[in-house]
Amino acid sequence: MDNDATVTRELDLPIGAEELWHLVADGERWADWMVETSEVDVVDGGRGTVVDDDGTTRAVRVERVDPGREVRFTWWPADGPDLCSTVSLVVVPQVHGSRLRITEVKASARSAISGRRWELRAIALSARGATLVSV
Amino acid sequence: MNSGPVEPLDQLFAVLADPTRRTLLQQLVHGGPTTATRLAEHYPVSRQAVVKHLQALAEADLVVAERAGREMYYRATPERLADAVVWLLDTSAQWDRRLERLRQRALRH
Repeated sequence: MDNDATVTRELDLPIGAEELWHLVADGERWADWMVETSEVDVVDGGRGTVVDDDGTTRAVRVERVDPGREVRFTWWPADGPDLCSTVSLVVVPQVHGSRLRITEVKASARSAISGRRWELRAIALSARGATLVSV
Repeated sequence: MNSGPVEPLDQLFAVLADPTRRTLLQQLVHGGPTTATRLAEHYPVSRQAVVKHLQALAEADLVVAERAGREMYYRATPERLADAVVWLLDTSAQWDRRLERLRQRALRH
């Protein structure tokens, strides 16, 4: 099955790619921005736990670390393993500063980040609900 | 996050990947319960194909089939679609908050 819900974001930052990489690749520093508390070993196959700002406790499994470029991990709420999703954090150097590219996919075990995706188009939110479109 | 019981979403998204199914579901949401024969009158597909699509939607709990005399009426039950939208909205809002914290932190640097 290769149709998944996807959320993407990009953010340009006035810090160097090396500093941004430390914020992405150091599990303790996830608590500086991504979650409230973090105990995750960010290495291939690493595991850990985070607590979100809304109090949700998530188990984390690190899928892949591409040094200086990408951290990919799977996480799921402790009380809702069906909501397992895969997050890709990609650091892109810029002429001035750096860019963080985020992709979170509500993934089946087989498809992860690749394959066809679903995305929320907010065009119909005000009327009869949201519209899901394949991209 | 949604604190209620959560169904796996993968089947839902797979079923809705088909544009004909999305159109049929939309028709049922907007136009109310109807039969496969009447739905087929509006689309360039056979009644049998419409029934097949409706069965796929039913397996994903997006429609229910209800017998009325000799006819089978199909009714949209979009609650599961709401679950999917909740996931997308929750996840989007979480990343907006996280990135705002990251932006603030970078600005303090």
